[in-house]
Amino acid sequence: MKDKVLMQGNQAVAEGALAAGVKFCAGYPITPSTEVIEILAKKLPSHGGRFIQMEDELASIGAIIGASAAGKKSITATSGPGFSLMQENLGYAAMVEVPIVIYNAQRVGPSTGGATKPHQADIMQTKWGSHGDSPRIALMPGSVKEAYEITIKAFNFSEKYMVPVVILMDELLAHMRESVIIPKKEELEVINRRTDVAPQAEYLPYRMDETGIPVLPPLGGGYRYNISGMIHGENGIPDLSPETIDACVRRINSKLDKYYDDIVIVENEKNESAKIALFVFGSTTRPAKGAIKKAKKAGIEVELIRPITIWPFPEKEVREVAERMDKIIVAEMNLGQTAGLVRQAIEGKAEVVQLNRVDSGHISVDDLYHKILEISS
Amino acid sequence: MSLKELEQLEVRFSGSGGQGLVLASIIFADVLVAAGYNVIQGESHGIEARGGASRGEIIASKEEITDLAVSEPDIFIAISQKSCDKYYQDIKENALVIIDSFLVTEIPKFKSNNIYLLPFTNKVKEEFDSILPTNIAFLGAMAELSNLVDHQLFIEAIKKRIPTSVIEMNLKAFALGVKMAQAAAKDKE
Amino acid sequence: MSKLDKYLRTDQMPHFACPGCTHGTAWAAMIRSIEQLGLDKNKTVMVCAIGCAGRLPVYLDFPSIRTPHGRALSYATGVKLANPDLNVIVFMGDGDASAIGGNHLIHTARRNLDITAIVATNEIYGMTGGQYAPTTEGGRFASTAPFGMIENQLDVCKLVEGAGASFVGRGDVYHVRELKDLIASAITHKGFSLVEVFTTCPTHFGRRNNMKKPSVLVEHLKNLTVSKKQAEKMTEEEVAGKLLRGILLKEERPEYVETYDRLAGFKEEGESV
Repeated sequence: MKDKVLMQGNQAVAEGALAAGVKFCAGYPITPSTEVIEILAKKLPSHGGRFIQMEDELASIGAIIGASAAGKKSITATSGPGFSLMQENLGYAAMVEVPIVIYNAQRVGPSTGGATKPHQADIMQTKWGSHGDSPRIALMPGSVKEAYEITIKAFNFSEKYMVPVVILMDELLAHMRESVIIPKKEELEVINRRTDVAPQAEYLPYRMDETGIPVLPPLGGGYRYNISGMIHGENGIPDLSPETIDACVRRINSKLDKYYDDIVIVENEKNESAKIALFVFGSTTRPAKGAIKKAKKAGIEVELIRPITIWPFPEKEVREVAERMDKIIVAEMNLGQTAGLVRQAIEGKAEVVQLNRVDSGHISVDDLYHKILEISS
Repeated sequence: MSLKELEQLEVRFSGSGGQGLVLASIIFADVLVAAGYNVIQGESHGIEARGGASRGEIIASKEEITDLAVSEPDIFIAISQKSCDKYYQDIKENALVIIDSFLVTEIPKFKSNNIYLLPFTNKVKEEFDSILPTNIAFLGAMAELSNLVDHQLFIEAIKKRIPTSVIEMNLKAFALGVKMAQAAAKDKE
Repeated sequence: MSKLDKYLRTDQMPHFACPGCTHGTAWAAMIRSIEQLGLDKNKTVMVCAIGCAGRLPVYLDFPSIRTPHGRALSYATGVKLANPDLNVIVFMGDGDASAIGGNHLIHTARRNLDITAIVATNEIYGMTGGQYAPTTEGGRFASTAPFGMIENQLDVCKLVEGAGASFVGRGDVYHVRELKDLIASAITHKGFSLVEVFTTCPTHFGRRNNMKKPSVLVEHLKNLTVSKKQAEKMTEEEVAGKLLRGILLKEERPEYVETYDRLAGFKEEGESV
């Protein structure tokens, strides 16, 4: 099928997950993500998978970690309040290196906030919401079409690097419908986790080869090893010696550094005449392109830098842009969560100008255009 | 200027929750996709599931769309007084305006003169003894008056989105809307 | 124990339990039941969480997963739905299962998913040094109940029965043979099964409640219950104040995955339609 179809953002995530080979979904209803679990509840059984509605979000993410440990690609879908509840198990998945995908359709916060309205304010929580230093990848699609592709990417990263991946959308994209062309199955790259392991007698779950990524065969698939959220050595058994603690914490986090270039995806068209850059993400992608066009007509050149990967934060790419710019506008639907990250990344190489909207309205072409005019005069 | 020549088409359906206007906007979005446009469709609801002023909006373009929300509708449809009052102001000067004159009795001062007052809800109730397919009736009127896309594409889209058991009634409602629009257009001449 | 060595990670011995702790007795009963049933250890997944009881899988040579505190049953749900052919056994302490994991306990029981939960009840949080649990008897002392336990004592068996479990059993570490058979019955039961095992913690419970000597605590435990069979021959006065031991409830009810697969028309990928 290569026809253009009208698809909702949440639907694109569900369809993307199926295309990636998802075999298990556990979820708890929450606006604005619920369509994802509704679609997967209906479609998974005919795709060789199962769905279950759990008693809360703690259980939902717990169940997907269990299912993934048993070898099945797994996803859960939620929004802010549910995502907060998932932090405990998100840290666990990162610690034990069992791949999972979490879809978070960001809504107005804090607390119950506003269920049907968008924010982009879970960025810091995604990385730092659970205790301890632990790795995760977070991806922010900029359109419904991208939501489909990025969901497949999320599964691929998760399986390849044995790490939890969070798809961070916002309510606007989650509920928006868009004309998209669904790629053919053979055009898609789908990665499955490794299962090539030594015989049981020699097998140690967390002994690394040169990849630095553990190979964990399915629980119940013939290998007997222990998965534990406690600090563990190569054999997966708890060990609180300072050397093991150091090695464990450093190694699980080192995966993101080692594979940074593969993981970090940024949209950035170099514009040699621009002295202003526009840093946006998620649903602001479209208006940013509109604003840049509008500014060009008014004789102002502006370069776009848009992270699709927000964690690990694309420091290198942002710094490179900053070196060529006077000013970077960081526009986000929160009070400045990534502006701080940009400042930290660029070390004073350009001035950071914030544009923050938290009234639940989207950042419009005009919002961005006026900010461009304001700082270029 | 005909709607076909627009670089970007912006459409707003507004009404009360439960009137089916979001579904109508989805069907029209389907139609525009089938006609080869790039399309985005969004909706916003009042907090109430039923009764608040809500809207379904579409942006369509042959080019890449760089907006997220309709700012100046080229087509404006209102089927409740509350939503009409709330959403009429920012329409384009020559926008196509279609109003359910049975439910919207106080007509605001529109920027456009291209206004059609058609009593959809009343006519549909008379014809089908149910107001349910009203949304499809105004879609029919819009298909006729916008003269943008072949009616057949609407019929296909309706068939795809409407439950099988009520397709027949809805296709009749679509034809009714077309007829009402044709009559009104004739009157205008 | 040599006969059971094949089920143990002997390189992890000695285990960490305190002298006089009887969690090990419960673990041993479970292993013996697995042996009796001849379960394939490669296909028997142990799911545990946190606390003294939750440390079990470290010492058992099974595929195992130790989850965050209270979450074992939710993980087990995922394991079972991913691969219904596996035997899934969840071993928890009373605090783990009924306090922090209480909601998961209720709903796993309600779903009648074919997993076996074993809850070791010793009325105390041992790992953290002797705080009261939902299962602590009224008036008992704990580090966080310095004036005596005020709250009502939770009956785990009644809770899961009310929630819809199709198998509920109670045993203790004094009647170990009974316990082995009880766990074996629970594992073979199709549907959610729960076995509550009364165990003892002399270090933290006994010490604060005039039963410091391990044998005194076991003696106390012995007198807490009466087997369901015995109870039938006893007078009402004789049974009064005692809890029943044995299979308290066993009903054949539709199992979750079987029902799901049938209703949803589940097909393994590649299976022809």
